[in-house]
Amino acid sequence: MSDPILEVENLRVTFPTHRGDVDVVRGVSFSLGRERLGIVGESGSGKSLTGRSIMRLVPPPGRVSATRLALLGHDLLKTSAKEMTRIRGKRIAMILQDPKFSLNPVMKVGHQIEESYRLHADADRGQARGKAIEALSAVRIRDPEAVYHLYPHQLSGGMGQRVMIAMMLMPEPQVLIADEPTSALDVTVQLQVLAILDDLVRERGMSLILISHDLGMVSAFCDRVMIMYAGKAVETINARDLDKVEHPYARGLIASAPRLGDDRPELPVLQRDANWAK
Amino acid sequence: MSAPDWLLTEAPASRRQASLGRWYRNWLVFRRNPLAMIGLAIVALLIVTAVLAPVLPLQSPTAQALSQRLAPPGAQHWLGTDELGRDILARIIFGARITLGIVLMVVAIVVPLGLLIGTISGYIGGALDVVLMRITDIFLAFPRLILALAFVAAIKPGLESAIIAIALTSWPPYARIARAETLTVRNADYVKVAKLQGASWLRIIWHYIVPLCSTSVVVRMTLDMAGIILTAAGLGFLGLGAQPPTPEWGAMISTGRDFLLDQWWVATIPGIAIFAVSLGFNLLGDGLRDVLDPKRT
Amino acid sequence: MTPPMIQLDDLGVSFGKGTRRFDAVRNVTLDIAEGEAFGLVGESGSGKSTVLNAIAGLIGSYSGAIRIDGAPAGPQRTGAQRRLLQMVLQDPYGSLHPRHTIDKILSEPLLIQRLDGIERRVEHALADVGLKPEHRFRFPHQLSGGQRQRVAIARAIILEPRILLLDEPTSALDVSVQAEVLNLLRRLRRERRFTTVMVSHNLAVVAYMCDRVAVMSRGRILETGSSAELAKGGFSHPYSRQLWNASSGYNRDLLKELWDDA
Repeated sequence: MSDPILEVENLRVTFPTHRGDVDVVRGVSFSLGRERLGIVGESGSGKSLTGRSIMRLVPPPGRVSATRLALLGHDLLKTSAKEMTRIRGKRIAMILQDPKFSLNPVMKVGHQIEESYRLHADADRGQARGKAIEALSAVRIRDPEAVYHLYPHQLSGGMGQRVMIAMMLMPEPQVLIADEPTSALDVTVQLQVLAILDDLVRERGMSLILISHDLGMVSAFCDRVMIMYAGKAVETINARDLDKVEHPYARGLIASAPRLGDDRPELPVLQRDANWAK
Repeated sequence: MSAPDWLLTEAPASRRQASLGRWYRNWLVFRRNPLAMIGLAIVALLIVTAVLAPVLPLQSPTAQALSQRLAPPGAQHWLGTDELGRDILARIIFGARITLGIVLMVVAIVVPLGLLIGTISGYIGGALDVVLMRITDIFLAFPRLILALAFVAAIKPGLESAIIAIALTSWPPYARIARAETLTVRNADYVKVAKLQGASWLRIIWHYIVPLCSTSVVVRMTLDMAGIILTAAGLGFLGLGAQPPTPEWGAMISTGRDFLLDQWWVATIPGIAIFAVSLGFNLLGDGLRDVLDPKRT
Repeated sequence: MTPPMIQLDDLGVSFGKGTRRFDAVRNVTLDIAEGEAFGLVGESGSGKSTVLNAIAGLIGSYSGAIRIDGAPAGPQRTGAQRRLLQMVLQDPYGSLHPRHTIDKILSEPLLIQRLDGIERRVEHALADVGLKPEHRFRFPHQLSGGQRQRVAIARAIILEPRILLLDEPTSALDVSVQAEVLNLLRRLRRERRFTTVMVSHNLAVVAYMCDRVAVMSRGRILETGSSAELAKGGFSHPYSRQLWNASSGYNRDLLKELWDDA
């Protein structure tokens, strides 16, 4: 494997509460090359905070610590807040579940894409506009000129998510973190959005971290899958070897989802073991 | 099991324990806000002295002693005496009863009225909503003190008229708040389920919507109390509220202003009382808002 | 022969007027037999939830006819008609009143319907859905998502309805919790012989839970068939096939047809 693009070692996210500090992410380590890595877990497993801590976007009073958190050899924990703003967007970008909350509701989407381009590149309006139209067609929007002039509330869910992707990819980041990018979408639209991500990652040689609760979707889409439980990465496995996964939690997850043509009289219920969290 | 444990348990054993537990949790949050605690202390002091006024070792608030008129604050009269030689401390404390009485009466009229109009307007909607809200707008458009003045002038000056006049001008904001809150919850899933079970609209408003509106209404109420006290004092000052010899704070300022330069305490002390109590209610209201805000998760 | 439990005859629902008129449901005709588990699948905006709401009597104006247990059932229903049918909604956070304890949530339907033995019935319902007595006086925010959904189910069955309407009952839950709730629903159905209508976008869940399934798109029912048929991909309408393909996971090769149709 080539040099890792992102290295994470012993990552911890801690939140203070009434009853003392609680570690929500507890010593997660992984490295990311030019690949698609899936992070899968249930709600509260710490998967989203793992993604956010790479972006240094953990909301206060949360604290992030790690033995190493480096992007292309550059220590992200020592980066100043100001410098971090530049790295976000230009080097790492993030897509969230609901584009409605990430887009400015009173600004045409075309202008928003232009703005995200001009923040990172020295370009005049005309150039930026051309780039924006180009970006919209890259996410397979059929009539980019028309969509350019729409406001976010005029977009459907799938369209909004595509606009988000177009905007995030504008500065050509090396790493894209997608946190549940498709879970608010219909299944057929989900596939379209995934296909767009897939193409862009391949064409531009980007690294992708896909965070989701949907083990089936992630394993079909990604190269590697990291399974998280109670703030820890319990197992990392090549996606195509998913049926050989060993950890009982992962096995339980796979078994508990109904499949098409399922004739089990009862779905096996995940028996949680206190040892998994240790 | 200690009392806090009993209150904070995640598995309450009765309805009472569950609701007490919720109150206790809110109290724990409230307690962390020092300004709110100051507000609470002021309001508590006001209530305690007002309730205990008759049994406190005070001089009579109405007994005149012309030989001691306009005595400065001292050992015999802690806060001095007024132009008729009445003890100002006693008058302030008995005045607290009147102020508190006005506030309570106004709130007792305004809150149910506002809640009723707002929730019905928001929940039923349609033409009824339009009519009720336009009526609300009309009342909202009048300047508060002017409407109260006109009302009191038309009936007769006195405490009752002052209360009705203030109530008449204070309910519209409550109706507005209640309506706005109702609009956000009327399409909630739990309301849908209640309809499905056959709940009448009255039941839905009373059991489902009012509990959710009441927190913002209570907060608004506490913040409003300062305004009510000021309006009452204003009416008193203009001679349209409580009538002499009732020791009402506004009226006290009004008579005291003749001596403002030479005997400052006669007008200033009731002024300080009004200021302190208004401030107390405002601080309390802010603290309550932080605790009770339904948007806080 | 007994009449169907639920009968929809040429049901149409539209919102708005004039040029802004939007037909949410068009020409839906359905017979659902007593004790049957019926599923409606489709994507957002397909009208599946609107059909469910119309059956529930939550929609004020519609065209066509709705008959429940042989009797016409419009939006104005008697208490007995309301008791016949209850519903479980998708969002376990939004469907429980935040200021009511579980006890109050479960007693409400009994008070509304003026039933006696509230104490006993609430205890029973809690036990039936696998909750413990200690959960009874908690507030919804003190429960997990799965537990809340159990409360919502308890609230629905406490009136002993004969029809249970399920609107995406597990789609807001984690997979492992989904399994528990699906098992619970299947057990209750076995024990109480409900007629159920379930709406979902998840084909596997609907196929697992239902006997018969209808695929909906843009307000219409495209086709209806047994869930065994659905599971093996036996539905013939192109849109049903597309849904089926999409449900079998991410597959680069399938996307060609999707793009052509999008």
